[in-house]
Amino acid sequence: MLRYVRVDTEAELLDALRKDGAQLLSGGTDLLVKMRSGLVRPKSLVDPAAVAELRGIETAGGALRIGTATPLSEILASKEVRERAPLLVDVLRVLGCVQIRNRGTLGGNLANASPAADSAIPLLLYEANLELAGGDGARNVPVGGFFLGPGRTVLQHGEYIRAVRIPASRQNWIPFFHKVGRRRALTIAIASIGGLAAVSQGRATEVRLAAGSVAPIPLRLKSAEEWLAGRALDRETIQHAGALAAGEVSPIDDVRATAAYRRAVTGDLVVRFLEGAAAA
Amino acid sequence: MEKRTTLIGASVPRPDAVDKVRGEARYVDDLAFPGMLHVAVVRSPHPHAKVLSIDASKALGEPDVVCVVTHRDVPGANVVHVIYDDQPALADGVVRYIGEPVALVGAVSRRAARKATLEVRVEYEALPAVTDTRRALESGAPVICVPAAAEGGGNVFNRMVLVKGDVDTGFGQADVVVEGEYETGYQEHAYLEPQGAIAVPDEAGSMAVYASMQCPFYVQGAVAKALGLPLAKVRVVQTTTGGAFGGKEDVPSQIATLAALVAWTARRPAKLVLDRGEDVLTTSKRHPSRVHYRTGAKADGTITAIDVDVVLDAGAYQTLSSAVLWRSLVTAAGPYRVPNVHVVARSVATNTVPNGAFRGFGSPQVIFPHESQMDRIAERLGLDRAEVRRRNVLRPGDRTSTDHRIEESVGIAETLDRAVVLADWAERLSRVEAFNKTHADRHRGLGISCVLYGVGLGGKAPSLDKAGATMKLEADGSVTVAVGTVEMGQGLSTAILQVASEALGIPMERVHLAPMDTSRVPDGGPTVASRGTMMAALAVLDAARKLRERVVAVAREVGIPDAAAAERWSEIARAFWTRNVDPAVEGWAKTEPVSWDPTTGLGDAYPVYAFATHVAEVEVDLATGEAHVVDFAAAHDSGTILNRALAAGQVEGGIAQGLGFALSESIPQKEGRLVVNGLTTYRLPTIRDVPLNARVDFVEAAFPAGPFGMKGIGEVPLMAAHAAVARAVAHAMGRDPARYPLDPPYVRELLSASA
Amino acid sequence: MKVRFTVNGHAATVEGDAEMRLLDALRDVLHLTGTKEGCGEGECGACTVLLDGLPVNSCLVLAAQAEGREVLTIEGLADGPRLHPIQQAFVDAGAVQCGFCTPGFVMSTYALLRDHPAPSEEEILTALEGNLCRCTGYVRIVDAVKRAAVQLAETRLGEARARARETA
Repeated sequence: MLRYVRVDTEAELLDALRKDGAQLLSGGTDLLVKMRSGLVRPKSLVDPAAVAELRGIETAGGALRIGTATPLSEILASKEVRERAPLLVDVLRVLGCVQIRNRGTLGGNLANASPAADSAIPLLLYEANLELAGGDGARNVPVGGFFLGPGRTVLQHGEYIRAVRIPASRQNWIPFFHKVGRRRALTIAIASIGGLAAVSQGRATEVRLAAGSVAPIPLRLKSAEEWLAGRALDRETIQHAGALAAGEVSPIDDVRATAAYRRAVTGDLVVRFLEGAAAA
Repeated sequence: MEKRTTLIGASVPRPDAVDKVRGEARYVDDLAFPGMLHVAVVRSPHPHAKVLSIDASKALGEPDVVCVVTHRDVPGANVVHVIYDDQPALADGVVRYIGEPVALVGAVSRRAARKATLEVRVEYEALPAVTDTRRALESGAPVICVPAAAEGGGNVFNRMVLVKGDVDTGFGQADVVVEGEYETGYQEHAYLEPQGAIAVPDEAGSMAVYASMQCPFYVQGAVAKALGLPLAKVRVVQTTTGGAFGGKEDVPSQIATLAALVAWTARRPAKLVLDRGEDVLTTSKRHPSRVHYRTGAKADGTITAIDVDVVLDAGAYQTLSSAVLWRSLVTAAGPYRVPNVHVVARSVATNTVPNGAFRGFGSPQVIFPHESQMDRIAERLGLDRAEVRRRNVLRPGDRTSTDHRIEESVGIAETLDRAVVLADWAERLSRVEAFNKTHADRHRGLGISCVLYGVGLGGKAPSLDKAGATMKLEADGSVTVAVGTVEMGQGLSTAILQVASEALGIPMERVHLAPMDTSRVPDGGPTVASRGTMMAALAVLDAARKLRERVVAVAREVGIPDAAAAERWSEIARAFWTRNVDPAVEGWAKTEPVSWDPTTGLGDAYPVYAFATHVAEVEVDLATGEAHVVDFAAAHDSGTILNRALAAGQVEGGIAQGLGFALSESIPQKEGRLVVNGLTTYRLPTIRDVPLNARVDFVEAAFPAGPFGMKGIGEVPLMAAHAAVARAVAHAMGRDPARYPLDPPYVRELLSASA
Repeated sequence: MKVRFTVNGHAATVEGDAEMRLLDALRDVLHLTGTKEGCGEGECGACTVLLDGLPVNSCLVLAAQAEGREVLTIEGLADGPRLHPIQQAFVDAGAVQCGFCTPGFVMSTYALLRDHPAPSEEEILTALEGNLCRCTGYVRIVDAVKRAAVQLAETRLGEARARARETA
């Protein structure tokens, strides 16, 4: 028989999550669907909504700390987030819909570890760190090191994400995000590409690229990034970056699209981003 | 034709909307009866298998479980009665598709019933499965259907032909010949309200059924057959129905039969409401199709001949496939004048979920081809795409592909002209070209489509094309009307109230439409084929004429002049009561007999045809292949429009469903398994995907035999919309798509092919 | 287990197990059947209710998560026989066909117009993109939202004038 456990403090949370079959209930927008279809069968659901440490948005200079259980709509509405991490706002705007964003959380979207997790893209680009707690002790893990595979993360039994930390970053980033879907809202990405570029006099000071749904986990496209660093954004350079990006992903054929399609779109969208950045 | 006055055509708000916006309309899952059980279905996990044994003992021991029902418990005939009776209510010996009902659990809660289905032990022995039509048609393929239902032999349920003129001669006269192969896949109705029924054992061994449905008389027949009851002992009440689109034509017969079997066994009310995932996976869908189409035309664009081969994937049982196939056959030529026609159409059995009715009913599968062919002819001849259609569309006095000479209510040319104006066709074409010259990463495209739709059941099922109505003058002057076709969201109830009020000459507020109950009105056939409002309105007009005659007579007796009848209506009604005058009348309507010859496929296929022309503009992302509709214009000829807002609502909704069919909606099928997960992976259009700027107009070529000149509209918008969208994408890409959906990967594939 | 919350301004106590969704509590226990189940997976929005003022899919909220909170359902909008202006606008605009999605759309619109009394088209689309309709093609739904915004603005203006007269 399933139990529902509401905890008020982090100590209670730690305790409840150690129990056999315990599952953290974040927004529930993915978990409850999975439970309904029998994909997961937890023995208890631990609701941390009342735990203060897991909620809210704090700033320190240019950096942000977002409690893992903060509803996405709260993040979307935050002036601080819009100033410091505008691409996160752009992405959350097309994540699900109002009803989902009023319940869903960053912690849930990340811990779910879907290759299509939208929020992972901007967090990878901003090089966010995840504050984990509840394992052998608190630890910080970069988002890039969090995912192990579809549905798999570095989280240990009893461990959870307490907060997402986004470090201070450039003010002059040119942002890019394109989520390819079969329709224009409420869609699961067939492929999604995000980027941040700092360009000075036609030359890429720094470019960051990330992609979702094109590999077992959302990932940065490092070889393309390295190729671009310091180079003038001319046609050949951009084309080559696109080819590197396409070569760096490892997509699969599934019912939504072929691997070949995903690879080609990755390259083309990277090119589109860079052409736009070069013209900006 | 009746004289039309102010009420006809007016955008009268729907009275039923008030309950709906308050959340007070009662859909089937909102109802409960004392002692009611919940039903859950044990379904086959195999596409084709022998059922060796069913052991329900463990399930029966589960808490709150009351009964488990198998084919052995069916008191009457173990069939879902539709046309061929080949589909068992509960599998007996063999299962033929994944999801086929094998046993039923009745329990006091829905959750207990669903949990207990996992404890019903069914032993299967897998049989070779045939899951695509190519394989099913191979010689030596195992016959996987009930042989008696395969009139075409082997796995061919039905084979139909249409031969007019001589196609060899026709192609001989042609200056150009274009040929193409076209495929479409599943489309799921995705009515927002899932399928559901409640069966309630009633007095004297009878059964009442409350359900979400289009065809209460089909349900009555199906439940009576399975329970072995006379029709008079089965009463069917339609609950507020949350969308249907053809999906609630035949499927409710199955749902109600299953609920009734549990109610009969347990002698308690029983409710079966499908879970969304179960609904998507196990109920009928639009038939996947393969069409080969060859068209010959003269240098001026005039079509000389068509040769068409249609294959529909029927799924494991006949259900409505023979009727769907017939419409593919007689619609294959579209709204065009074609002197030489050869069409062969086959519906083929596979070990997949049975397919059935879906808005358009076998016609979208031939419309995508005929409109693609038309554009290709225009391209080959260097003609404007609207112009080549203008040269071929049917005019009054022309003969259709079935050699039906149509004299009146032929408005296709007017819809074409109107749509071209609404879309600003020529100007928009040059804007699109300019856009494409200045945009490297996006292209726009413009598509046009013309369609013909035979209204009603026509030559395939003339005995069903009828309708009844009852009308009762209450003592206070209010009037109770009942009709045999149903409101399912399309607006029939509002239109019927308008017609009744118009015909009686009293305000709409005085007329009330009673809930649909088979014990109240005679069998008036199904609410399908865009016939529901037209036929019911004709029956209502007949009833109103009869009641008016009595009103005039009674008024005369009490000295009220005819001219004052409307304003002294209550007095007259009172006089009916005090003078013991019979205040109830029955109306009846039937369509003119049609003559159609099944051996040649020729004859007057339908009493009348509706027409439409749609123009769509799309924008395509050349990198990702994402296409979306940016502009839309639609012109329809459905005869006189009874209620403009309702009719436009039908068109706007049909455009959305049509663009979904063309762009995003599909379900992959792998070895008989549908790869879909409820509405999460089935992508129907959202509010961001539709053209909110669509311009809709009606040309109203009146149909003299229709009520106030109206004919049907319901299905036509979807039929025209998908092809306009697909052809717009084709225009943007400079390539002809060969299949639906035009989802991002496929559009990008077209792009690489054209590069 | 027992859950206590407020529904449409009235205290409610619901008894059920941990699996009970807010949707089940409303429909099966409290018999507020105006909230519809269209998919059970948060895709269609037919079960939209306001939880502490925010639209949520009640199929994705456990009843237990509503403990101590305020729930507003479609049954809580009309003032007796008088429709709420949003409901009236849906009737007048012809935004209702089968009606199954309608309560969800009305609730989403209610939250939208409370936060954005004069919404832009983009704000309307954002507010309603989580509600699916299969009948209308959405055209008249958008029209209804715009009409409702105008109607509510007129009502507010009228009230302000009345208040001004009282104070004058």
